[in-house]
Amino acid sequence: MSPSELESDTYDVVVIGTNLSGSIVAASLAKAGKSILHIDPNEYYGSSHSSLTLDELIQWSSLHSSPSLTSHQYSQASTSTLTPSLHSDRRRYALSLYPAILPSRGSMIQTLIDSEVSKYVSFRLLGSVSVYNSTQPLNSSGEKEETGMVKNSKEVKVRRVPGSKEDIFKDTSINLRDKRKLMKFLLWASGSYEITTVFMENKHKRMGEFLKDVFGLDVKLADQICYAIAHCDDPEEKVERVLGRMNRYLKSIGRYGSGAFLVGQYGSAGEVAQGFCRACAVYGGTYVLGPSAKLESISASEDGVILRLPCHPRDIKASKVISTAEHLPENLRPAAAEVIITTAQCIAILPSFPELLRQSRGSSEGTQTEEEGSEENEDTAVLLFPPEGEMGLVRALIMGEGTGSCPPRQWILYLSSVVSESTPPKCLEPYLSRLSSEPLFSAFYFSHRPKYDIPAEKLLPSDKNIVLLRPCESLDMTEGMDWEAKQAEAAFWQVVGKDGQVGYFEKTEEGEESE
Amino acid sequence: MADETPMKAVQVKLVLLGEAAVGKSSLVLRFVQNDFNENTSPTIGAAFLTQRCRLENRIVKFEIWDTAGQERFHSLAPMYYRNAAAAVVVYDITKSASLEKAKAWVKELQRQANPNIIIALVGNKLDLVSDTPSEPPTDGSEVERDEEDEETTPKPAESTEDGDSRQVSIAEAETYAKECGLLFFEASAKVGTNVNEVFTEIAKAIPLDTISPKPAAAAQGARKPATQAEGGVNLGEQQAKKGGCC
Ligand SMILES: Cc1cc2nc3c(=O)[nH]c(=O)nc-3n(C[C@H](O)[C@H](O)[C@H](O)COP(=O)(O)OP(=O)(O)OC[C@H]3O[C@@H](n4cnc5c(N)ncnc54)[C@H](O)[C@@H]3O)c2cc1C
Ligand SMILES: Nc1nc2c(ncn2[C@@H]2O[C@H](COP(=O)(O)OP(=O)(O)O)[C@@H](O)[C@H]2O)c(=O)[nH]1
Ligand SMILES: [Mg+2]
Repeated sequence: MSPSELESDTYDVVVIGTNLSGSIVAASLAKAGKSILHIDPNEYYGSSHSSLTLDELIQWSSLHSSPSLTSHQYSQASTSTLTPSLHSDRRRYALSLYPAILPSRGSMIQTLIDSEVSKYVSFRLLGSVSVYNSTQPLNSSGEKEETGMVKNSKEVKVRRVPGSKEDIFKDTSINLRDKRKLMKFLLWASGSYEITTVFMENKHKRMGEFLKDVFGLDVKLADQICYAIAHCDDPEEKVERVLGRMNRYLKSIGRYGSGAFLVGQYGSAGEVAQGFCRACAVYGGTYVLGPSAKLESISASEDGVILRLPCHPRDIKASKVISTAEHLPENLRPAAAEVIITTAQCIAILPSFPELLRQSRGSSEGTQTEEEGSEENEDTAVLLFPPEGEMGLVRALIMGEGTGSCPPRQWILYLSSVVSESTPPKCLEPYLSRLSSEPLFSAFYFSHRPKYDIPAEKLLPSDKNIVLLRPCESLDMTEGMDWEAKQAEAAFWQVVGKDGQVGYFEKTEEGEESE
Repeated sequence: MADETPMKAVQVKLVLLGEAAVGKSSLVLRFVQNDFNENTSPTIGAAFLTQRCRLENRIVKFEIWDTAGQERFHSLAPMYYRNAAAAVVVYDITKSASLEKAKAWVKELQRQANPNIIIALVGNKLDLVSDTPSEPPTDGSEVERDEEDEETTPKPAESTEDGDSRQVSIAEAETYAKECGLLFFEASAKVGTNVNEVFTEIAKAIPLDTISPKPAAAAQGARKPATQAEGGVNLGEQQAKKGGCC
């Protein structure tokens, strides 16, 4: 069904890879009037941010099962086998390779609105954020932990993090004195904290200690703030960094409802990427995906870049090429990083909303009005497991049928944790067991990303006509989408230059209300 | 959640499919703006266009998604098909190969789209053939049309070169459409023949119950457009560009 060639031999910009940043920058340049060829050697949109159907995920997994790192982004992928009913429903899933939630204030939301891609993609408020209260050692079977007894047991396994001032007032688990301290801190952190002397004097401290020493918060509350409000990997993170992020999250509350975060439909990141690609196409961008878009050769020179692709019989000339490192040949990539960060990931399909999180809901009086009232709330949730033993923080993100990720009465569970290289691939299995005794399906994999010691600006590809898009450095779940939006904007300015001729997703006709 | 009363406008996502240059964008332009562009293939430049169709018992508000050229290299994203309640698959009656492509798109819809999707097969560029019957699908046609709107009878082809450029017979396309349960029309975006009829018949064919979706229908059937999903938030409060009224 493919025509034999492209409509043109020359493009202003060739973008390689349909990941988030690539898709956003492609749309922004097309809107600014540049001619764009956007290619991706995968058959599906999204690259490393893709949303895949169940059969696509299984195929993806078989391509990323290699035990060694080599130069790949992923390794050790494995999946369980499909039951007949999963197989027949396989196309009804949108499973994300990049599970993420989106703060209601930040670059991505702003870009979605400015570009009007918000018309294609929809979001809903994240249902709840909770922290796991580890009282039992992590054991690999884990089956004892989620029996029906949990509801009646005195021990609270999971604590729901208050999402607002009202929540804090209502929360019966915090005593009045702690409440006051907590409110005092949150008020400070959500305001102009950066001009206070408290901040100046403590900005290089570790966040956990800072909360204890300066605001007098106990370890439990301090941990909750670090993990569940600031979404730190670790309470050792520096105050300055944590507060910058946390202030934005706190200010996100109230913009679209009572929570700070939004969850995208159909796997979120992948759908957002598709939305920007469509916007690019609407502005005239050309799209080629799959084997006919697999780079045969690329060479850069003073006046541009020359590419060969199976979809075109002649050389393709571009003034600039924008790409992530993985799509470029060795000679055009930046030097290899000294450190590789590895994240263990799990994608599972659950037959019920985790009992653990149900319990945390009302936190006390268990008069659950059957399914009805709770159903809407039991669609999306984040649960954070503080470090235990060898494992660091483990993040769980749940997306139910309301997010369009799966058929009715099923839930998609994503688990992720930054791990050391020697960690076994199934390190997340005990966490999965805590949340579901019989998942319908599970997939495990490692993702790897370079961590450079040199500052970002110095990390350049070998040629000025190649613009590199870099992957998020940490905290993908809450920061990843905003990172991608920022990468895209930086790449946009690198291509067009800041000469005031065109703007980034500049409004053309309709006057738009500004923020 | 809330029950839609029948006269409230119900929103229906409609997608266009078919080989490049068969006239998909032109059909949309004719339907929404009653306009035609001879040379330039019109770039809509908008996310999607909306157009209302008033029936006796309901108003259907179409949210029409054009391919934006992504059909050319077969790179339409899953997003394009998501929640589409209707599809117009277009071929060019002067190019037999375009019907083969149309058949492939019907297959693709059956794979990617909601199983209850209403599909209309449209043979476009009827103005290019002179043997045009004044009432397009004739013998044994099951297509009901509103006679009142029938003032736009096809004009003879303006092109002088050939009146016999038809490569796909009505019978061939109609037989295929019947086999697959598709609505079938021959139309001309250029002069306007049958364009409103295509959309009106689709509007009639959309079952009412799939139109007022339960939240549970999320991943599946026809429902409100993505931007207004149940429980969703409206990020920008902008509306899609509006068309006229038919
Ligand atoms: C656990 C928790 C506790 C918080 N406690 C406080 C606090 O004690 N004091 C504080 O100023 N901020 C608090 N915040 C942050 C607060 O909810 C807003 O995010 C913040 O005030 C940002 O205001 P804005 O005008 O920039 O935000 P916008 O989203 O633009 O505006 C929201 C508006 O609603 C008001 N608002 C938001 N949430 C509430 C609420 N729960 N009750 C009453 N009014 C609300 C805001 O003050 C503001 O006027 C807390 C957040 C969390 C997560
Ligand atoms: N004669 C004639 N030309 C048409 C008709 N519809 C479209 N065209 C022309 O066919 C070409 C392709 O149309 P376009 O709408 O861009 O096709 P698309 O690629 O399927 O969207 C344009 O030059 C149009 O002017 C029609 O009904 N009759
Ligand atoms: Mg077109």
